[in-house]
Amino acid sequence: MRGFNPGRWSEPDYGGILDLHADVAIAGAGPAGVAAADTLARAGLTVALLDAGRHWTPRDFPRTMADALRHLYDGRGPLVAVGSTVIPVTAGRGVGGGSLINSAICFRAPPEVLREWREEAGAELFTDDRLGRIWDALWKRMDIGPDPLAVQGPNNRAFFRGAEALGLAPRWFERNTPGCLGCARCPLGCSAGGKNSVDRAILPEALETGRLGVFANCRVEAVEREGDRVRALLGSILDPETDAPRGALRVRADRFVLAMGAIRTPRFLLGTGLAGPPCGQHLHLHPAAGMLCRYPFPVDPWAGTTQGCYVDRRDEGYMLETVLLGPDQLYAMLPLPLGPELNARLADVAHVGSSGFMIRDEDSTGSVGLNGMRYALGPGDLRRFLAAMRRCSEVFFAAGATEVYPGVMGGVVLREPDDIPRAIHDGLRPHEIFVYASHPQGTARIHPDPRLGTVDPRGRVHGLANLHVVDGSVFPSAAGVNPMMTIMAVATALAEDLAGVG
Amino acid sequence: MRWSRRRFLVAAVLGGVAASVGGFAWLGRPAAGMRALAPLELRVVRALAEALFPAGGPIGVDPLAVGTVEEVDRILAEVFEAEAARAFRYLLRTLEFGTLLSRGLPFTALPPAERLEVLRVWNGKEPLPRRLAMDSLRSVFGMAYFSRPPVLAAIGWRDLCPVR
Repeated sequence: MRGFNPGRWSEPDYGGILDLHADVAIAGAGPAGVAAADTLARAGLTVALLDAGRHWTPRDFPRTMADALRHLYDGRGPLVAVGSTVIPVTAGRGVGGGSLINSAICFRAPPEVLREWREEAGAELFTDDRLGRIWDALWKRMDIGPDPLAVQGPNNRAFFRGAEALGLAPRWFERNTPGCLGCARCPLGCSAGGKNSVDRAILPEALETGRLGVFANCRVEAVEREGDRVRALLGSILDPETDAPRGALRVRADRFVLAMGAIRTPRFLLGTGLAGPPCGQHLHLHPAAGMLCRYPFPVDPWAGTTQGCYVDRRDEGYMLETVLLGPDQLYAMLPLPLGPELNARLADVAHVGSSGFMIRDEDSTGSVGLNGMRYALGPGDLRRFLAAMRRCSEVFFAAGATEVYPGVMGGVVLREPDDIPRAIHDGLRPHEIFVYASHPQGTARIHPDPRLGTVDPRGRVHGLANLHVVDGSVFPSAAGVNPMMTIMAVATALAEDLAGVG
Repeated sequence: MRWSRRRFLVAAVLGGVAASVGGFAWLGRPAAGMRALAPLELRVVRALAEALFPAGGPIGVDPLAVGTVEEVDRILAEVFEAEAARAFRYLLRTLEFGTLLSRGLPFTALPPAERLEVLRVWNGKEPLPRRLAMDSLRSVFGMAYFSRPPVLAAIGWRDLCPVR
C-alpha cells in the first residue's frame, strides 16, 4: 500500500494531491464501510477507507441543531422525497456515518425478512447462521445492551407504562450506548462520549491490523475505468470547515467497494455511468412520524435516552418507538395556533411528551435519481401508517395524556380516546399527515438478474469485475427494523466473501 | 383622475406585480453586519421574529435582544447550501410582497397582530406549497430562537450533556 501510513488516522495534505494504492479502496466510512474495512483488513488485505465528512471526537461535536445539520447530515439537513407528499429523509455524514447521529437502536433483521431476501432475491450469503455469528461478535465489540432504567427519563417511562396498561408488551431498546447519560442529544453527536459509534467501537481495532488507512474529508467523484474493471477512484480533498475542494485524490486498487448509503451510492453509479436502471429504483424507506402529547405531570423532555422503548406490532405492520425531541423540533411540530397559544405550550415544555412510530413499506414506490428522490406512499402502507398513529394515540392516553397531537394537518388535537377514530380515519391522504422517513434502502439491490437488481448475490455490480456495493442499498426490501446492525452484518458477510474468508 | 374601486384594484395589482418583479430581480448584497440577508430581507426577518415570539408573550424573551435575527442570518450563511439559502430569501420576499396584494401593505408595514394573522393563514392545511413554506419558516426560526441560552433558561430546558 503506498501513499499513506496504514494503521493511522491519516490527515490528507489539503492543497496537495493524494495518490494512494491499496488492495481495496472503500468509499464511505459509515457502518457499512467501517464493517467492510474491518473485515478486509483482518483478512490480510490493505484497505484505504475514504469519507467526504470529518473525523469527529466527542469534544468537537456541535452544540446546536443548526450546526449539527451543517456538519453531520448529508445535504446539510433533511433530504426530500417528493411524491404523494413531501417527505424529509435524513442520512448521516462523517467518519461513522449514520452511527454518529442515530439513536443507537440495535436490532437484528427478522428471520422472515432474511428468508424473503434469500428466496426472492437470491441473497444466498445472508443465512441465519452466518449473520447470527456476525451479529454475536458485533454485539460484544459494540457493547450493545439495554440502558439502565435510571437514564431512560420520565417521557420514555411514561410511554412504557401506557403501553403496559394496554397489554402491548413494551420493551426497552438494546443500544450501543454503554456510557449513556440520558441527555437526549444523539442527533447532535454524542458529546458525552457514551455512544459506541462505529468510528469509536470498530475502527480503532481495525487500525491495529496495520493494514487500514482512514481518510476523512475525501470525496469520491469519478472513476478511471478500463473495460469491465475500475482502475481508480478520483475525487477531491475537502476543507473540513467549508467543504471547498483543496486538493485532488486518486486511489488505485484491485477491488473497489461502495458504501456511501442508499442515496449516494446509486447516484455515484448513475453519475459515473457504471450502472443504469434498475440502479436508483426500488427505494425503500421506513415511513415514520413523531407524535406529541401533553401530560398533567412533568416529563422533562431534555432528560432520558433519545429513544428508550418500543412496542413491536410488526404483525400489524409497524413499530411504536419513543423519541425525545429538541425544543426547536417541538416548536415546528406542535399543531397549536402560532403566537400566544403555541408559545405558552413551549413555556411549559416540561409537560410535553413525545413518541413515534415507523412502518415497513410494502406497496410504496420510490427512486433515487441524480437530481432528486421520489416516493409515493402506497394505500396499504398508508393504512398501516394510520393504524400506528391511532395506536400511539391510545398509548399516550393510557399513559395519562390530557391532549394528543397526532400529526394530522389542520391543528388537530385529541382530548379523549373517543376522538381518535374521528380524527385519524382511513380517509386521510398522505399530504394531510406529517410523514418523515429514515433508513433509505434498496436502491442498488441484490438480484441475480441484472434487469431486476444492480448487484449480484455477492454484492458485485452487474457487468463489472471488481466493483462491489455493501451498504443498505443492496437490501432487496426494507429490513422492517432500525437497520444499522443489519447493514453492518450484510457488509461484513459481503466483505468476507470478497476476501475469501468466513 | 377619479379613483374608482376597479381602477384602484387594477393599480394595486399592477403595483404589487411591479414591486414583486423588482424585489425578485436581484437579491442584493448583505445588509451591514449580515452575511446573507439583504436589507429588505433583514426587515422581514425582524418582523417575523417579533410576530412569532413577541417580547411580552408567554416565553417572555425578546427575540431581537437575544440575537435571533443574527442566528437566522448565520444559518442561511453557514448551514444552508447556497441554493437553499437563495430559496429561503425568495420566500421572505414572497411574504413581504404577498401581503401587498392581499392586504394593501407589505408584511413589514402591517401591525404585529395582523402579521400573526397572515402567518396563521400560511400555517393552514392547504395549499401544500404554502404550508411547506411555512414549515420552512417555523423550522429556521425555531432553530434560531430556541438555541438562545436565555430562551432555553426561560422555558426551563436543561442541557444535561457534559462535553468529554
